[in-house]
Amino acid sequence: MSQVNLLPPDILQAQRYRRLTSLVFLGGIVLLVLVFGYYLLQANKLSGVNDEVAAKNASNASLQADIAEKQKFADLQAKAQEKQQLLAAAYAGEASFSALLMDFSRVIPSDAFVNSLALQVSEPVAPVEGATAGLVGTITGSGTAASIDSISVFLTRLEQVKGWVNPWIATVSENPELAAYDYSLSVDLTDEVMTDRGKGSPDAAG
Amino acid sequence: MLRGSRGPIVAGAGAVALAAILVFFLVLPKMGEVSSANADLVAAQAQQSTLESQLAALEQAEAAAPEAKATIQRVEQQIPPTVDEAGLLLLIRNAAERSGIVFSQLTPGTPTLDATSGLSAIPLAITATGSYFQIAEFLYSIETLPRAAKVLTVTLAPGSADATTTTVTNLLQLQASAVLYTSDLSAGPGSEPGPTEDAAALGGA
Repeated sequence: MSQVNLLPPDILQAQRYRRLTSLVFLGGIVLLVLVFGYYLLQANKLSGVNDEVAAKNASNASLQADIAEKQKFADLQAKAQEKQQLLAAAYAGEASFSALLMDFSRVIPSDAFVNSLALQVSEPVAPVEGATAGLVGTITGSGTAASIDSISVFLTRLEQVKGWVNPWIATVSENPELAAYDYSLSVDLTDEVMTDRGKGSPDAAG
Repeated sequence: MLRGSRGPIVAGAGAVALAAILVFFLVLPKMGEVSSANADLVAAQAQQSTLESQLAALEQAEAAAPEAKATIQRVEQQIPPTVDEAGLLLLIRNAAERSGIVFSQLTPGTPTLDATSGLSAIPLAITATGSYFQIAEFLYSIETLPRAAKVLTVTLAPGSADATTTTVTNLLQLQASAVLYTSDLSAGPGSEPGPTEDAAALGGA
């Protein structure tokens, strides 16, 4: 038995369009629901982030209050450093003259003596053209020695002291009254004769 | 209205248009707010990190505060806020007594301000008599005074012998120049009396 479709084709077509329209409409609603859901998700996320920001701001405010309270300790430390710099400036270029005298007494031969002695140390300055860098002072003096040999030994010993350079005997003259020789000497001093605090060592300044 | 072949197209276009409007007017602004809030959060976290570092440094400074106070006190003793000439003279006198030398002259000069270091330097000329090793000890005492002092020059010459006798002595005459310091920027005769304000403020801290 053969089937006969009595539904006219235009009505069938209209039904198909209605179904398709309903499907599209449903899809649209799903899309809108998804969009709105995403919006709610973002709103929720914003609320969470805002809460976190508020918590951090509160924590930061507390930290800032602590910092303001403890700022006086930083000021104190800065003042202590400033004071130490003052002390370092005061001692800059210092040499131990007592040590220089003791060194001098150690190197002078037993058959020689000095009649006069002058020690001078100044703060090291930036080297200028033609000047020798590192020299900070001089020792000059004059005296009498039993023999030329003694003067020679003296000269050799002067050079062996740390920080003493360029020992120089400027004059040697016979002293008939003492049957000896008068001499005059000079020694240059390098920055090695400076004390630790004179060199600016922060630990030594105190 | 939605009849015919245009029905699905109109419905789809309407839904998409409505969705676009929602996205444009609701979702995107909210996303922008979230993004901005996230940036705020990152900034707050960075600020927290910075503040925590600052606080840690300050806590270290707090722990070191007794040491800092001691340093300030020690330096103030070495470089007093006023010239304190009376104390200075006593210190030199005591150093001379300990080493056994005898003063013939002690000349404190007018303090001069060294703008570089911010200190006033007090020049001191010393003339004294003593043996070589007494003089060395005296110089050592000067170098180790509780007050900052720096010897600049030393000259030794035979001590003046008694004119009425021919006795040979081992006494030498010392001529030395030294410098002491004060943090008073205006010190000495004719200056503003008292310590310099800044120096006093530092000391009082």
